[in-house]
Formats: sequence, C-alpha cells, structure tokens
Amino acid sequence: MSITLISKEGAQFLVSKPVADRIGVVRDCAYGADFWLGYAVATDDSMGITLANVTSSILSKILVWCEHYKDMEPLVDGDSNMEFPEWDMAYIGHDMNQILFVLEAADYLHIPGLLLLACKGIADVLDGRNPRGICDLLGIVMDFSHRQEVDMDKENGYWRWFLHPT
Amino acid sequence: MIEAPSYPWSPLVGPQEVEVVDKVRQLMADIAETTTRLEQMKAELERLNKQLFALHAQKAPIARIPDEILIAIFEAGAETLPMFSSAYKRRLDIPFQRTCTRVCRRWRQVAESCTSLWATTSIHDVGGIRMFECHLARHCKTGSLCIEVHHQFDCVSRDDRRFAKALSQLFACTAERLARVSLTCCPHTMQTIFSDQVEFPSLRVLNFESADDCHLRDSQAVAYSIIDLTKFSSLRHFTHARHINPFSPPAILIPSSQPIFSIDLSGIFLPSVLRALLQDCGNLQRLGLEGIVLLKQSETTSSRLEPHKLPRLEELQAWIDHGHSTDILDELALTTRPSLRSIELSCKHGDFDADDFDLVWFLRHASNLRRARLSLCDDHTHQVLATLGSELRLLPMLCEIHLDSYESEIYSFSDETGEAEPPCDIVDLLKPLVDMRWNQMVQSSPSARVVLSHNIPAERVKELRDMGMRVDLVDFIPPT
Repeated sequence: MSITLISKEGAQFLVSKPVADRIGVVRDCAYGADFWLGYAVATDDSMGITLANVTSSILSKILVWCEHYKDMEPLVDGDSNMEFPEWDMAYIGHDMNQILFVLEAADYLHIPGLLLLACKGIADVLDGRNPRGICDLLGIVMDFSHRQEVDMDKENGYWRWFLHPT
Repeated sequence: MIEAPSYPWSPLVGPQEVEVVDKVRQLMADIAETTTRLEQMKAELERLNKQLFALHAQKAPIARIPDEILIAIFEAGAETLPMFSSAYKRRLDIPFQRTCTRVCRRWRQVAESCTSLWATTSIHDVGGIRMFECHLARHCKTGSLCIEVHHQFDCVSRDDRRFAKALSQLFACTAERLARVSLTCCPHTMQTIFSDQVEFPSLRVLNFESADDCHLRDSQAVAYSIIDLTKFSSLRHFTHARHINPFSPPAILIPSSQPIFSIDLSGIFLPSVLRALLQDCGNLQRLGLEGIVLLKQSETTSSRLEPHKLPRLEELQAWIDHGHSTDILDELALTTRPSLRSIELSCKHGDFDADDFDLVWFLRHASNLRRARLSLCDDHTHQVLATLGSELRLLPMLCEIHLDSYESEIYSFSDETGEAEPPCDIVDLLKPLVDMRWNQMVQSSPSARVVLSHNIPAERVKELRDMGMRVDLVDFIPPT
C-alpha cells in the first residue's frame, strides 16, 4: 500500500505506508476516518495529500529520514540530551538554512524525532560562536535596550568581582 | 586636520609662492570636507545596511520559530554550568545558554524564563557552593536541579571537611528539588554529604565515582563506607564506578521496595558482593558491569543468586577485565533469564578455557533476546555463531548481532601448542547465518542487521551484502 504526497510546488512523491507512518500529519489524515480513507486522502490515490508548506527539496530530504526509520517506533517525546547516532548527525549536516527549513517542516508535519534532531543540528552549528556571529548567521537584530546592555555589563562585572574580589 | 607644510629653514621665495600656498590650502580644505562627507556616507551606508538587515531579519526562518522550539534548541546545546573559580576566565568558556541570552531581547527573555537551562551545574570547591547559591537565587528559584560534584578529596584536610559539610548543608536545603546527582569523591565524603536524616524524594539518578587514589590516601575511609540508598525513594538509576579495594567493598543498601531500574558498577566486586547488592532489585531492568574483576571465591553453588531474582532484567552489559564475561551469567544465575532482550558480553583476554561457562546453555534459555553484542574470545564467538546457524529454534526473536571488535580474519589459538590455527575469515564465520538464520532474523524484524567494524575490508562487506545480509559498519569503541 502506498500514498502520494504533494509538495508546495506540486511535485508528487509516492511513499510506502511504513514511510508515511513516520509523518504525524499524514498518519492522522490516513487514520482519521477509515484506514487510508481519511478526509485528506481522496479515494482516487492520484490526488494524495497536499503538504502546502513544504518544498520539494525539503520533502525529499525528510523522506530520506522517514525511509531510514520506517521500521522503528516513532519518537513521541524525546530527551533533549539524547545522543543521536552518527547517521543522524551526518544526515542533518551543518547547512544552517537547510536545517532551519527541515525544522520548520518537521514541526508542521509533526515528526518529533526529526524535530529534536534539527534542534540538535542548530545547537551544534551555533556552539562556539559569539552573540554577534549568531546574529549574522541567523539574521537576528541585536535589539537590546541601553538598560539591558548595562544589565549585561553588570552581570559580567558581577562574576568578575565574585571570582576575583581583589 | 591637514596642515600646510612650512619650511622654517627657508624664507619666502617670491609672490608665486603665495599663489601655490593658497592652492595647497584650498586642496586641504577640499580633502577635509570630502573626508567628513565620506564619514557621513559610511555612517549612512551602515545605517541603511542595518535597516536592510532588519527588513530581511523579519523574514528569516528563525523569526518564525515559536518559543517552545527555541527552548528545545537551547536545551539541545545547553551545557553544565561550571561553579568554580577558574571558570568564565576565557570567553570560550561561556556556556551555550549564557551566550544565547546575549543574542537579542527575545532570546534573552525565552532563555531566562526556562529554568531547565540553568538547572545543571558542576561544583568544584567552596567558592563554587557560594556561586551556586547566588545562581539559585538569580536564575533557578523553582524546578528540579542536577548537580555534579568534582572534587579530589584527601578526606582528612580541614578544607575538604569544610567543603563536605557545606555541600551537605546545600544538599539538605535543596533535597526536595534534587533530581540528579553525580559525585566524584571518596566514599567517606559521600557518607558525610548524605549523613543528615534528610530524605531526597525527587532524586532519580545517583552517580558515584571514587576519586583517583583516594583509597591510597585514606584506606580506612573506604573500609567503613556504607552507601545507603534507602533515602532516595524515587531512585531509578544508580552508578558506582571505580571501586578498587576488594577487601573492603562498600555495603550498598537497597530496600526491597526501591524501584531501581538500572544499575551500573565498575571496579573490583566480589561475586558475593554483587549478589548481595542484587538480592532486592526486583524491578531491575538494566545491569551494566564494566571493568569488573571477578575474583573466584570458594563457595558452593547454593550461595549463588537465586534464579527467581531479577525477574525483569531486560538488558545486561558485562565488560569484564579478568575472567570470562560469560562467567558472570553463571555467577548471577542469569542463565535462565527469558526476560533478557539485549546482552553485551566482552572480555579482554582471548584464552579459551574448557571450564568457561557454556554460552550455548545460555542461548537455549534466552528466548526473548533481540540484540547480542559479542566481543568474546574467538572460540566462544565461533561456538555461538555456529550454534545459531545450526539450531534455528534458539533465539527466535534475535534481529541484531554486533561483532564490531573483529577484524576480517579471526585466528584461533591452540591451547596445547600455542600456535595459531589458520585464520577464519569473517565471511566464512557469518555464512552459516546467511544460509540458515537470516530469513528468520528478517521475519522477527525487517531492520535485522549484523554490525561489523569499519576495519573490515570493503570487498568482504560487499561479499556479505551480495549474499543478502544487511551489514552496518561502526567505529569500534573498546571498553574503558
């Protein structure tokens, strides 16, 4: 048994049931009513499920993960400190833009295991960078008020005083 | 400001000089004006760039991520907060979550409101305890706490006694909130820390590691150590590492009502001590024995652990330094344990002794075993794989076999001559599985696999895969 997933651009991906089962949204659609005949699944298989927020390139990448984990129990709620296998870390890589898109898609598609992996991937890329570097990498405006900047200076000063009171 | 050149060593040379000087001054004024304009343009360019960056930033993916996912990112990178004097000296030592608070207002607000980011700390000295108390007041007023204590005690110095006492008071104050404690100190200090009549109702994980050489400095302290786990009514995981005095092992008290799921032990533990420890662990699901030196004792079989003990044990990891890891199965009466789902057996030496425990006997009784990781001597490995290939009724649920410590060729050594027998190729070793067992393994799980070392030559792996076996490769990490 297989199901067709349609990306934002309209590209169709035919996937097997075990692979589709890894995607929470698809699983819910599929089992929402009768088996494989939920409201989002047309009786005509060719219509499939449209995933309007996921581009073709990201969907194909996500399906690689689903294919790899098709025989395992889906992770419902994971530990943020869990160790990920080598394969996962190689899969998620270090391309921040791509990881962010995978993260958004995993959240939208409700794939908790992949969501945690993407969080880990982002944290790994950010690790060792200073705040300015993080802002430049992610497109964040450093918008602290003057008072907050003073607070942060005090914070630094506090620890310096604590550690070296003389 | 650029100044016109002057030549004090020469008088005016004529009226034409005035004209030249005027031109020079005019040019200097122009340069100054242009420089000012350039600075203004640079400032304007910077302002516009910031404006453009801000416009793009509104559309950046990170801006769309909700707070709960932002917290998950912070938690994924969160580090243990060091509470000791030399920490924070270098910029690189700033923990990840602290860096996140300095990125932007939103990140700061989200990170500071998430108490779990600030709950894991490591304390190294008395100053660290003071820092920790300030930290609790500023960042972590509620929620559970995880504390790591790293301190090389010598048990007898005044400073160390003061530290142990201060730590004991700290633990008493936070007893309700402590969820995880890792101690690297001597057993005597551990006793001091938990000596008060204080219960720790939330403590789920307790890791205790004897500090290096503390037994040499104060062997008496080790001699009377009692590790009393009865105060920790919610304890699930207990680790006791690097106990090294075989003549005065710690008495570890575990009441029968304790719901401990997982125990890890390493160091020298006499079989009798192990049995005494495991007598009342009816809920135990995982037992890890690493670096254990099993000293044979003169005792009768009747003193062994009764077979009905450990009824829920699902996972056993035995990495034995001296003595065969298979012996542990016999010592702990784990030979008839149908609840076992995963087993890891490793021993460092490769001598096969005819008296060693017969693994086939074990295989016949572990009917639910799913995963086996074997780093045994060649003969034992050969014996197990040959048996699996020929007796299909054994281990019907098995779907994972790890032989990750093996190279492409396995040599068998003859006991009598000491000479190596012809090497047994890894493909020959696994072929009986492919011929007989593999279909059964795939039936019990579609992801059935054999895990081998990366050191196996690619052509040998390809050969196995061509025969239909799913082979995964890993980097073998030897036992510590």
